[in-house]
Amino acid sequence: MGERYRNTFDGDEFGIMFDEIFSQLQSFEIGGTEFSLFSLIIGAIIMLIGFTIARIARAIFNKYYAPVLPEHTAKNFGKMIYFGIIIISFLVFTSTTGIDFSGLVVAGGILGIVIGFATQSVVANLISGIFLLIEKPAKQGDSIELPDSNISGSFVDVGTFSVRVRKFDGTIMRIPNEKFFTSNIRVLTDSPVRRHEAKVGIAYKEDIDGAIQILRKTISSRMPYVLHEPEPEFRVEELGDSSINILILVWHPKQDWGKVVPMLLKVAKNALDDAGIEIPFPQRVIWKRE
Amino acid sequence: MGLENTHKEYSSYGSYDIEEELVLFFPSVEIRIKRESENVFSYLRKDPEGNIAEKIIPVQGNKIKIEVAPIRPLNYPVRRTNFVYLKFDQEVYLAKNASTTFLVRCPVEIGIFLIHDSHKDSMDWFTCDPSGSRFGLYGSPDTGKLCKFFKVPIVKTEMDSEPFLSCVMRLDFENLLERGYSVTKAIFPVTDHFLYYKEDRAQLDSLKVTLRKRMAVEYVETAEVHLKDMQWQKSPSWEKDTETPSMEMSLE
Repeated sequence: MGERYRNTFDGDEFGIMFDEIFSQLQSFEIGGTEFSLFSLIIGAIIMLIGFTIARIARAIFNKYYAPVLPEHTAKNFGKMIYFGIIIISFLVFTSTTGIDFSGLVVAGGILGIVIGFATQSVVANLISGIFLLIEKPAKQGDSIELPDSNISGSFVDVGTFSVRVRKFDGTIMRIPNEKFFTSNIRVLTDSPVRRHEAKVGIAYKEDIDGAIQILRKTISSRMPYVLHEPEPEFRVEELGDSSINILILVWHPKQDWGKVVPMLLKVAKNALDDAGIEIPFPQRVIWKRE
Repeated sequence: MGLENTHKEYSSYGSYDIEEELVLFFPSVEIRIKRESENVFSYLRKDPEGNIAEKIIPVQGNKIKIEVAPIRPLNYPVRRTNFVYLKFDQEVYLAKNASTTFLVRCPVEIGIFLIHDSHKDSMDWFTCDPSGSRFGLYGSPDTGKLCKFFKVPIVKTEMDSEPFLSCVMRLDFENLLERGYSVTKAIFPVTDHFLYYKEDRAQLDSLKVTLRKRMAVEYVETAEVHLKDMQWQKSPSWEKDTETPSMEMSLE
């Protein structure tokens, strides 16, 4: 037993075995390029340092510089700093390990075509995302509307493959970058003010100027979010089947859509009711022949 | 608002020490501050729209001190801008190379500040004339500036402000253009200006307006001038002050 024990753990044999394994690990070949264990360890350390520096740089940026920048710009800059440092680290890593990419170029080209066909929509979304970041059709927090898709909400951000829009009901809508990029986008909050239109009808027997005066006075006194400059505008739009239709155009601060639009028709109707002005409903006069 | 009849019943701007109870009356607004327990006071405000605002104020000592002061008219119905757009009820014609000074009324809101350890904390604000506080746009809808909009009369003296409703502002105009010009409005960042009060009257820092021409472009240069009359008490600022030394606007 003692002999076997001595033989199994013979120091010379162990040393030889270790040397063999280590020498095999010390250098090995992948795709015609020889790597050493030492260079790989150095490369790993470089990548680790790169990741650490990227995280620290992003944290410093987020703490000291991001608060003074617009939210979407700060977010994009943060990503650029983080991934930029990682890419630089990777380039340093490849140069220290001696990886030669020239062999990969041909293989990569063919692989690229195959992957390109297979992941066409993914690449299209990625490229569209880059163009969206350059074009910036809306800022973070802007209210937007995609009339073709019947989507409206608050613009959240542009991701790698998709845009996120927070709908006014609070849910998040994910839209592929390509679809968003090729859509008609209506930005509702780009200007400091917005205009809203509403239509009311008054009976043919009523005085048009009198009705407009009452509407003007009531909107002025009861709707503090309606702008006084430019003033509310009133247009006789149509001599309809049952009523004279008056179009009311009011301006309001861009943020206060909810304080004006749901109120305007209610205020107009109450004002006309209080003044005894008839708002007719569709009606048909039937004449009976004698 | 029927001010003339009830004017004498109103309270004044200024500081108040409250040990048990204080009731302040303003046009259409009533404020009641009352001791609830040894270290707690209650605050209640009724405004002209029938709204009631209530607050509980814990204090360290056995009394509290407040200051009632005019503040810039930016908060009602909601804070959206630092700019004020004053549209004069009369045109002022400035001949070539002429200068003139006139006074206009500018609406104010009222701030209630809690004073402790030499700090003045913004506690509450209100307006006595909500129907007179509206928004207006200076410029085009895409690039214009949203302002608080007021139609204002030209007045004769600094004491012509309406108690708790408006202050008086002096406008110094100088026309350096090669032609006469009619002035109908003034648009400026009111956060550059301080308010001052004396009893129930208020005054705003004056505005120096120069009409100039640079190359082929005519423009207006404005700068605020702070009041140096020690008889007027400076109001604490409700909102953060800005520092815009001068401002240029185009002529219409």
